[in-house]
Amino acid sequence: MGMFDYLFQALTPLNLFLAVTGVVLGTVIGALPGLSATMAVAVLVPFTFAMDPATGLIALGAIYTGAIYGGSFSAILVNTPGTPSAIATTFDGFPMAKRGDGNLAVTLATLASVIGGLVGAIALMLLAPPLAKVALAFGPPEYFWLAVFGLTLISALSVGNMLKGLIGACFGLLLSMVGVAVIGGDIRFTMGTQVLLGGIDVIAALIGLYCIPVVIDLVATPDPHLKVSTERSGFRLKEAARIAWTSKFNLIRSSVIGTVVGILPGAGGSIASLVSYSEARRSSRHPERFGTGEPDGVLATESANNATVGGGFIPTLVLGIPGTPPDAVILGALLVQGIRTGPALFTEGASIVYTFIFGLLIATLLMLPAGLMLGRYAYKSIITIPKAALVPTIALMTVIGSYAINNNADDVIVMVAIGFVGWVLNRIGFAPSPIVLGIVLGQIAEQGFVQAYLIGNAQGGVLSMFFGRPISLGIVALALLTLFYPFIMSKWRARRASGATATAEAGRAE
Amino acid sequence: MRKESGPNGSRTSRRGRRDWPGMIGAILFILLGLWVLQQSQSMTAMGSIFPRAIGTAMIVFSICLLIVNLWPRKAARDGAPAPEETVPPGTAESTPRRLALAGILAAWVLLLPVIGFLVTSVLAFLGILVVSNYDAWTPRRAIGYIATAVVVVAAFYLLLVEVLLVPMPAGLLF
Amino acid sequence: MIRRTFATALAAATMLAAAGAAMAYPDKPVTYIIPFNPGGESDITARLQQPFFEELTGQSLIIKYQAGAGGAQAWSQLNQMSGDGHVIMGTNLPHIILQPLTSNPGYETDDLTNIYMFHYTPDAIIVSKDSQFKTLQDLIDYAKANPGAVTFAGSGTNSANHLALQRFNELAGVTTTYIPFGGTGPSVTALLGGQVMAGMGYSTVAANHADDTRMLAVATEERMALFPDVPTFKELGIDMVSGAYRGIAVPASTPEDIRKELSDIIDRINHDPDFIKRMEEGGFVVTNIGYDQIDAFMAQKKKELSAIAQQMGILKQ
Repeated sequence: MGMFDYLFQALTPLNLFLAVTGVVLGTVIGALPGLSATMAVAVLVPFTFAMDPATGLIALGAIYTGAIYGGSFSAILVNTPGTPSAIATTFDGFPMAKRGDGNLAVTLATLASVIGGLVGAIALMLLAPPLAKVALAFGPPEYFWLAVFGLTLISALSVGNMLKGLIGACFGLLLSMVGVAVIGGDIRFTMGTQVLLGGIDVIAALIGLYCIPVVIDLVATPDPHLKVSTERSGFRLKEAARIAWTSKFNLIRSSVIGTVVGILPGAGGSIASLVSYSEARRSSRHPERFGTGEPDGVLATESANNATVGGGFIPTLVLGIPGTPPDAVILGALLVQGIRTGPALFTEGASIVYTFIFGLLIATLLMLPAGLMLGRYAYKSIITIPKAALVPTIALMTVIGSYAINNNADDVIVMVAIGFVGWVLNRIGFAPSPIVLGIVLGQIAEQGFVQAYLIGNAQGGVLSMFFGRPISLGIVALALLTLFYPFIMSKWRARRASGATATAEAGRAE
Repeated sequence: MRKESGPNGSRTSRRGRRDWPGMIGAILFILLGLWVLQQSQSMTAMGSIFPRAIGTAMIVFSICLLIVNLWPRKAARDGAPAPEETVPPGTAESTPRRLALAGILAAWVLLLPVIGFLVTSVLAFLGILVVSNYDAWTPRRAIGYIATAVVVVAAFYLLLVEVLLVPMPAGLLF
Repeated sequence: MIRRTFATALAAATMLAAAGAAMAYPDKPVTYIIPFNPGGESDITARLQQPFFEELTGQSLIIKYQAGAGGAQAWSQLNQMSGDGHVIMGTNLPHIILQPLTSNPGYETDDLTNIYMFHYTPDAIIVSKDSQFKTLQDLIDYAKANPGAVTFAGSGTNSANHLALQRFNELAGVTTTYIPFGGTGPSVTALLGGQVMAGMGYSTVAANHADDTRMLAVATEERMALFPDVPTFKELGIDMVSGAYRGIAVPASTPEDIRKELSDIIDRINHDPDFIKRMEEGGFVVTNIGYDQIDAFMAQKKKELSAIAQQMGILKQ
């Protein structure tokens, strides 16, 4: 049968070797704050020209998925997302590490990433052409509402501090507008400086807002960075597996969310992990535990962001439209090799595509042993390295990371400046997450809004553009639900507290 | 111990006291919003929509924050401090070290393109190392740390230049 | 006889020495900086050049990226780089002419020392396969009947696509609406998804999405070999021959002889039949505008683009 041939082709020594190396290399690069998955893929591309297309794709896919996974390491151990897709992993990953469950968190992240990656790759294999149509159905209004939905997540995440969260988000949105406007062409908010002309890069802001405050606070006290629990050391694999099994529904749901968001061109792992985190929290029995070190949180975010790898390949291979930034690089590599993307790729070029997908599946599975090894090593070193060496190393990585985005020293200055601002804001109660969310979503929201307005204007109905399309309405409904859910829940809980009845209890159980 | 990080934000004052730092922040954000609105006067129609909308939203939210904080306190509300998040007394936090670190970071990034990566980074690394060291200084430790600084910086430099092909800024020295 | 052998040996030695001196550049790897993100057209053409360059010169060509501000980030730093000829940078027209004219990107057009313009991607009007417009005339008729209703996706504001549409509007006598997107990728997505009615892009888009799109017209002198059925704007009565040109520049401090040498190398690559074939398959049109023709070319382009920009009212005050 054809399929088995492709599977065997994926298992050749060369392909296996590249899968392993790719995953390991990708994980390491992803773990270093600032070195992103896009960069990792871009580095490998020249080498793939000497390989045949399927092999090259396997190498690129392996390094890509490894990098997305690797971002969780620094997110958990240092409270700094290694890649934007790991932002949401810091919410529960770092608190877990602080209380001594760092190794558990890393193992959970590994399991979740593997499962998410598998789901994404399987979707790619079985459902690529129909799912690609979904990508096309999303137009400017949908993207706008999707961004709004993302921003309403802030209200869900900042319970008790909603106003500050919203202000932070606005601040982030403003930061995203610095530079040249895509629509209108104005140069905004640069205050005449050359440094800000290129805008504020998401990753530079990410590193600044998360890492710099961490570093500043690390030097303030001699306390160890993380608590080490000596009784429960090692992989804690059984424990993690047990937790994962209990949360299997969460895992599957998050992986599906990740796959779907990955399909949408322009939306990547960061949005996927945020949405799945929010959903996980909403449907959990203990939503209040989220943010304090709840394993379900880590499971949700890590499975979603690795699912975007497989999901992102769907529009890339079927439509020739990159689903995520690393996909754009891979697409370029394919074009240079003379591979035409499109539905034909799945029929005439079947041997390339299916060999690649099998290779991706294998690489994803290999993340488990590779990740556990690397994770243990990372955990050990973070714990045992004395602060005096740890702090400067982290600082060095922030500088290198922000420089390496665009090979531009200006980004480093921006990173540190934002970092200082972020530290101050954090002290007075404005958390970094809403700000980063604002920066990530700002461009999507603005472009979606103005484009939808322009198109609606030209075609005769601005309102019907925004409110007359089924997918848009669906997203709006989700956004409203997320926005008001906390209020509904607290009212409900208050009612329960003041004389609960058995019926209300039963009604609430899921 | 440090304050909580994570999505729910950082420390808030104890119940019953007004959140002065937050309010100062709110005022700063109002000023920022006003500046944004002023800047958007000179933009094209399309380019000014979003700044105006977000600037206005920021001002509105900040005013709400002020109002909520200045309101006579009854039950906990939005923007009010959550009762369980108090600042636990713990190890004293050292401000001079923080400032020193901030200073080193600032100098580092500003001098990077001028003097070159390797030299500035090694110096900055050592500087931060000194600031974050709480153990006693012995000659052995000092030498060990200096060696670490040079090795770590050089290792990353090589990784970037040779493996990842990133052009590091060239300055007066390397 | 000994004299003859000696003379031959001397001649051979002189030739070798001359050849050696000629090939003294490049004598170490050359860094090729692309002012955009990987995966874009500039990247693809650079990678197509890479193996040919390496074979011709025996040195490796290392491609690095320095994206930002639509290319301005890198172009504004070009002259601070080493001028020994081992650092070269990709340049894009109309960007390098328009940016200084319409804003303050940190450099002037003349700051960039272009040594070769090696290809261009002609402007093209593209619609999706199931569009109601089968020919360009269909589109023009519809646009005349419904001014402003036809929406065109394109990449960026005041960019190549935007200006091309402006010219088209004027030459065809229609009013259409331009919807800017963040890049070629998003604009193609919008086109394929039916969010807009047409797209003003390049021939490369049609080449890469041949199954899903239909190119109504292309802005070249003659029909492209890759698209024998697609008329040119010219033959339809619209005098539009334009597109985005891409070339290579060096820091201003690079000596004259190295500039010429580099220009020759690129020229040789441009005449390699295998290179030409691969470029054309991708929808690129090879142009041989070498170092001696650059100045005239740039002057003409500046004139053209300033005129359009002035019409659109986007020249900076």
